[in-house]
Amino acid sequence: MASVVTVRVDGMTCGSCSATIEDVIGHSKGVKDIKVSWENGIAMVQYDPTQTSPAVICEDIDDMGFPAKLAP
Amino acid sequence: PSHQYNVKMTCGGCSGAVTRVLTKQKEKGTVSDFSVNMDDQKVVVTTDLSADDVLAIIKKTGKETSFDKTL
Ligand SMILES: [Cu+2]
Ligand SMILES: [Cu+2]
Repeated sequence: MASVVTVRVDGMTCGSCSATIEDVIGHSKGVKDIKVSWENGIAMVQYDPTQTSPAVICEDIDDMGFPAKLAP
Repeated sequence: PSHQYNVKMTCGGCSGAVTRVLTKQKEKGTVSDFSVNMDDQKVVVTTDLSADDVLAIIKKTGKETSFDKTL
């Protein structure tokens, strides 16, 4: 069973920024799929709730240097 | 000491990300100073942390990073 979360991501300026996040977070524990739009400043993450959580995903993106928080 | 790294930064988003990560460390007091130079692809960090610890922190950005030298 996968859950989906939308994360607001600031600081991306081009496709290579979003590609880097997709690559790193896409390989994080429990993350099944991730699509990042640098134009909209949004990451859509599909994850396994038994292995990770929206808070952990946000923190991991934040640690990459892109301020991240749960989209309202 | 000040440790210098080669960091592959291709846009303002990259250098901004590295800057934010190091600013967080500075706020924590683990890093006393740093500079990010996108033209030279160099990052210099003044800290009591080991060169390896700093390398791990910068690598979290997902950018290709290697240790250059301690200045
Ligand atoms: Cu970019
Ligand atoms: Cu970039």
